[in-house]
Formats: sequence, C-alpha cells, structure tokens
Amino acid sequence: MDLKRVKNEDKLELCRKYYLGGFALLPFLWFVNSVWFFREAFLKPPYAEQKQIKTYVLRSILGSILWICAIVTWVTIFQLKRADWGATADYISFIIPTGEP
Amino acid sequence: MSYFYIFLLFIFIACAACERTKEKIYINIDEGKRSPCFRRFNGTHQIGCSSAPKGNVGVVHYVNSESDLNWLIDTGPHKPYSVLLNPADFNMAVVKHLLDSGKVNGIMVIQVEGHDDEFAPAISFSPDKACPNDASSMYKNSTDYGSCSKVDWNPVGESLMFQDLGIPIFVFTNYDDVKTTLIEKCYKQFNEPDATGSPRDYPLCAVELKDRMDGAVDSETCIRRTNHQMNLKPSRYCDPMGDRNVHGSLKPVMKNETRKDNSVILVVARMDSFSMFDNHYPSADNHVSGIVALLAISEAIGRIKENITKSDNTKDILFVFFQGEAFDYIGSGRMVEDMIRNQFPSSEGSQYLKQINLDHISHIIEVNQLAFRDNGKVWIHTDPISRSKLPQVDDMVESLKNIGEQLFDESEQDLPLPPASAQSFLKKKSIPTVVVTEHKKQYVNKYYNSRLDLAAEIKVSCDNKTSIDCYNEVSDQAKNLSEVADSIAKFVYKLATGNNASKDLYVDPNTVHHLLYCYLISPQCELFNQSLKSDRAKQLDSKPYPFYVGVDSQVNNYTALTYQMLVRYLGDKVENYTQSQCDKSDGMYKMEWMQGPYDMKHVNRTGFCIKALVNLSLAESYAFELENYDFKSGEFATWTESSWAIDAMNVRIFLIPSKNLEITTLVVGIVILVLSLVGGYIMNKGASKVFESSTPDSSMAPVAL
Repeated sequence: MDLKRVKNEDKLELCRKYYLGGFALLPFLWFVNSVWFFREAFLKPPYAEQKQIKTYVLRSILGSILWICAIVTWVTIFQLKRADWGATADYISFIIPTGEP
Repeated sequence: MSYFYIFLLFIFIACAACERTKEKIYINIDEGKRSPCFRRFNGTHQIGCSSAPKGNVGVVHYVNSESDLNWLIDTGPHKPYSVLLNPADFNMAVVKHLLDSGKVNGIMVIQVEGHDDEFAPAISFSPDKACPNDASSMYKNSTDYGSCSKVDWNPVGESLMFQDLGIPIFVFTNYDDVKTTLIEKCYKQFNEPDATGSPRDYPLCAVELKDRMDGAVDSETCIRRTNHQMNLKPSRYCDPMGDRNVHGSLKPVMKNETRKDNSVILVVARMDSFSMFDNHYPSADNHVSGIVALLAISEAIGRIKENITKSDNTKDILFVFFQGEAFDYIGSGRMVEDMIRNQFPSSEGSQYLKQINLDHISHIIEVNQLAFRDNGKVWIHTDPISRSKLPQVDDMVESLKNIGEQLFDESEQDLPLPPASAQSFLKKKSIPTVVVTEHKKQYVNKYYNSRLDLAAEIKVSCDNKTSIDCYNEVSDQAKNLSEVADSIAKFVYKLATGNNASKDLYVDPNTVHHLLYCYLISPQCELFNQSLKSDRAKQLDSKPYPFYVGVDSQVNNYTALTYQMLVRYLGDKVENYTQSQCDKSDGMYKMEWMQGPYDMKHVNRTGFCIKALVNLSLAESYAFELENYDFKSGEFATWTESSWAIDAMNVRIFLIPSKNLEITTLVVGIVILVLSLVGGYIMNKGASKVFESSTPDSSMAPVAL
C-alpha cells in the first residue's frame, strides 16, 4: 500500500491497528510500524493526526527494541548452552543439528 | 526437423569432449576401494571417527619412515595435513602423536592385499582393549580379578577403537589408488619435501576425506533425538546394535510337561567380532574357529542323537551361537535376562515348548578361539570364584582332559575366565562352566578383533588352487579343529548321558574343512548351496559376509546361514514332504527345505525337508526396551551405531593453490563484479547519447529474447 494515496485519518487508523496488534506477541507488527510510518511521524510537514501517529511509532520502536534485545539474548544463551542442557534443550528444539552435541 | 539435427550435432560434440570441469579437477576414490571408520556410542561415550559436515581437506603427506613423521610434526608448514600411513604404522602411538600435533585432520591407512613386500603388514595390532568387554565382565566389582588384574588377555590391544578420534580415517584397499594416484602422482609429484627437507611450494596435492556422522554424545542422547517427535526434520541419529542368537536343542519338552532342574547342558560359541573399519571383519580366529568347531560338534552329536532323545535320564543339549558378544555381550546378556523372566524361548513357533530358565542349566561349555595352539595344546579355563563351591567343575576338567588325552590341559586355576559369553550366565548364577580355547594366559592371536584377523593367518586360504580343489582338500587347520571338536563332542555326550561315547560319535574333518571354506573363503560353496532353498542359494555371495553384528535391521547373513546349518545337523528328514508342505508347516519344530546334493549325473539336486528344534532368539539389549532405563547403570549393553546420510562418505584428491592466490582470485572477482555493475549503470544512463531513438522510457518496453 502506498501511504501517499491514503487519507490522513486512515493512516492514523492503520498505524493504531499495527500498534495494538503488536501487543498480541507480534513484535514484527511493531517493527513494520516503526519503519513504515517513520517518514509520516517525523519527516512529513505537520498535520492533525501526526502527533498521535508519532506516539504510536515511538512506542512501536521501543517495543521492537525490547523484543530484539530479548530475542538476541535468548538466542545467544541457547546457542551457547544448548549442549549443556542435554535433554531439556532437545525437547524445546524443533531442529536438532546432526553430528554435534 | 533441421533443428533436431542441429540438436543431435550438439549432443555429439558435447559427448566427444564431455569431461566436465569437475572431473578435470577431482580424482575420486570410489566406494569399495576405501572403507571408513565410523562412530558408535555406549551409555556414556561416543567413539570412532567423523569429519566436518563437508569433509576435511588436508595436504597429503606419506609417512614412510620415522623421519617423515618427524618432518611433518616439526617442520610441515602447510597444515592441516592428511596423513597416508603404511599398514604397520597405524597404531595408537602414531595416531596419538599425529592428533596431538594439531596439524592433522585426516588419516589414510594402506591395506592392499598381495603386496606385503611393499607395504608390510603389522606384526601385531588389536584395536580392542587389553581387557576386552571389561565394562560387562563378571569380575567388574571383584577386587581380586577385576579389570584384568591377574592378566591382560589381549596384551597388544591398544583400545584405539574406543577413542573418540574426531577425524576421518579410511583404509584404502586398491593398489593403483595407493601406489599410482596417492603416492606417485599426488605426493611425490607435488608434496614430497626435497632432499634438504625444505617443503615444496604451492600448488600442493590435497585430499578431501568426508565421513560425516549424524549422531553425537552417547546412546541415550541420540536415541532420544531419534525419538523426538517435535523434530521438524525427522532423521535418525543412531540405531541400537543387535541381531539374533541361534539356538537348537535335541529333546522337545512340551508346555504341559515339567522340565527338570539341571537337565540342560549349554554348549555355546560367539558369532561376532569387530574392527575399526566398515566391511573389514575377517574374524578368522576370532570367531570363525569357534563357530565351525561348535557346528562340527553339533553335527557329530546330531548324528547319534537318538541315544540322548530316547532316554528320560539323559540331559538335553542346547547349542547356542551368540551375536553381539564383542559389544558387552549383547546376545548372551539378552538370553540370560529372558531366562530370568521365564521368556526363553519366546520367538514364534516356540509357544509349544516349555521355557528354560537358569535353574534348568546343569553345565556350560563354551568354545572360544581355537585356530592356534598355545604350547601345542588347547586350554581349559574355569571361574575361580564359583569353582570353590561347585565340585562338578573339577569333574568336568578331569573328564575333558581324559577324553582329550595329550591335547587338552588346564590353565592356571587362579586365573579368572577370559572374556566369554558364559560370564553373562555366571553373573546371575553359579553354574559349572568350562571355557575351551587356544590360549593358556594371554591371547595368542595378535590381531584380536581387528581387520587383520585374516583367513590366511590361520592357514585357511586357497593360494593357487582351483576353488574345487580348495573346497575338497582337507586343510591342516580343519584337521586341527576337528581333533578339538571331536574331544569336546565326546565330552558333552558323556555329560549328557553319563556313558562314554561309542565309535559312532566322531567329528568329520571334511565337514570342518567345508565349513571353514564356506565361512572364510566363499559362502557360495557346495555345503551352503545344499543346505538352502534354491532361491536363497542363488543369492549367496562369493565373498565372505561381515561378522560384525551391526544395527538390528534384518537378520545377518551369517546368522541365517548358521541357523540353517544347525537345522541340518540337529534335525531329522521328514520323508515324503514336498517343498510347499515343508514351507507351510508350523509347530514346535522348525521345518526348512534344503535343495540337497547333486545326483550322480551332477545335473539335478534332490531336495529334502528337515525338521529341527532350532530357532532364532533376539540378541537385542533390554536397555532399549525398558522404560526409563538408566543408560549409565551398566546393567545391559547400550551400544548404538551412528547413522549417516547417503552422501556422507566421499574421498577425492585435487590440487590446492596457496591461500594468497585464493584470496587474490576472490578479490579480483569482486572488483570485476563491482566494475561491471558501475559500468552497466553508466551505460544505461548514457544510452540515449549513443542510440538516437532510445530514451529511458522506451527502454522499459519488453524486449524479445
């Protein structure tokens, strides 16, 4: 969808949906929201709905960063410690590498 | 139509010069001319070899002398190396030295038949432990006898098999591959240091050894991973090792009858061995000599079995061939456990027969390695712990010595039993037991459980004889083994009946020779042919089958053949049965159709149906059947073999340039790519200056290719 052709109130509605959707453990919605509406929120000349969009986008950015930190931390710990955890690690894995501990 | 001819022309041109670039770069060593070492697991460890997922590439270095080895470790600047070893140099010391240097990521071992002058074989080599099957020994917890404290049975055993080597190791069996390709064209031409010892310059000849194993850690882990249902990419990591035991008896005791205590004599032998390399399980002394001896005994006793079966006061004789014994007694461990649970025999067809448990067993006689003779004699071993409580053991030893006259003698009484299947039974109950074998103390076989326990070592080979002569001329080894088997058969008969054997009880050296030939030289022999159905006889291979127990997927070839021979030797002909009647029958007897010997004109065979109380029983460890079995407890065997993918094994030789040249090539490539992208962009932008009508808009139109 090209945001250039969308009315301002629809943009706000869209941004709000993505923002709320992110709370359903869908961090990618927040990430998409952050990137997609960044221009609208911070770079476009001011318009009525922009302030609200800016709030949503800021919160989405914050949420995405928290999620990224959390995921990176988990992946790092898991990759480093998987072999030590033994059976537990196998049971929470979908794909177990072959030929390695 | 003309297009078609042009197309054909292209094909011809392509085929005339159809060597692909890949084939110009690599020389492959084909499967069948090489054989890998692979990975196995037990309850606590992984052992054996594996490479990186795409193989290990190392510069080829041929170690032909001590100085070659030292040069590699002290000087060799082009690590990692892949080392080519002479047969005699493949041992623990050299392998450890190479691994510790950190410069070696692969080993190739030469083993070419018929070139002993050029590549001298090892004087002694055993990859097994000095104390084989130590972990499952009956003396494991004994302070007096544990860990072979009295004697190391296998003094040349260096335990190389039981190391987690972590690199790929292959044996190469083709003379041309070794001599011409690897040594001449690869090593001497490109890699051999010059006379002053300075290394050669790039390009160097390298080899890629790919031997990727899927399993890891230990049996518990890889079995768990194999069973892991969440796995999105279902694959096998390892499989339990196991097969079937073969057992046969003489007297049918029905379900509704009682079996008296101490009424069964067990006469047993092991059926398997191992080596480090896939498909190299010659197992001549250990354990074909024992298998053949036991079959010969069963034939001799089978011939006069009426003397035993007709009387109620005689003991039954249970002949057993155990599988998987080289791996912590998989087969005998299983049978003992089945007997304790009152589930032996449990296989189909035996629902008519009364179970046998440990109380029913009166004696155990085990035949171990028998092809050599220590001090010209065969030695009787007993268990010192149970012997003090069991006076029958002394009687057995005396009786056997009397029957065997000068041939049999007793080993030192304070020695424990050597590694033997009987230990599985003695672990649970003290039963009078003798183990008959070739060695007085240490093994006399210098190649125990290795790829070098060859038929030629026990003087069973055809040399220049035709296969018919070779099959018919009784060898000295066959005479030697029949002497031993003859005495044991008479001894067993006396134990069973209480009477001395008559002249009818004898072991036929011809049978022994034929069996040796069939097991060690070619299963495609007359004896096996006679003893099978015609369709199965046609499938017999001309090369010996492996004696390695392997994973438990289907019944091993030699297990099936040994079963068939035992049926023939212990069974009775069923007169007037046709092949279809024979195949259909079921009941407490196993019936097998055998196509039989040729008639006088040597044209047709006259088949017969044989019924016998012979059957297969599981040789699989309970460790894989019990829920929540503790794999570290050491109660049952826990051996598994790693799985590997279809393309997991590969060996190819090629030239490698220096690292600098590789990097330069890559950088030049990237520069050219960037330049062409920039160039393309500029040309596209400036296209209108050259082509009058072309504007950026018109260039958007689709162009037919």
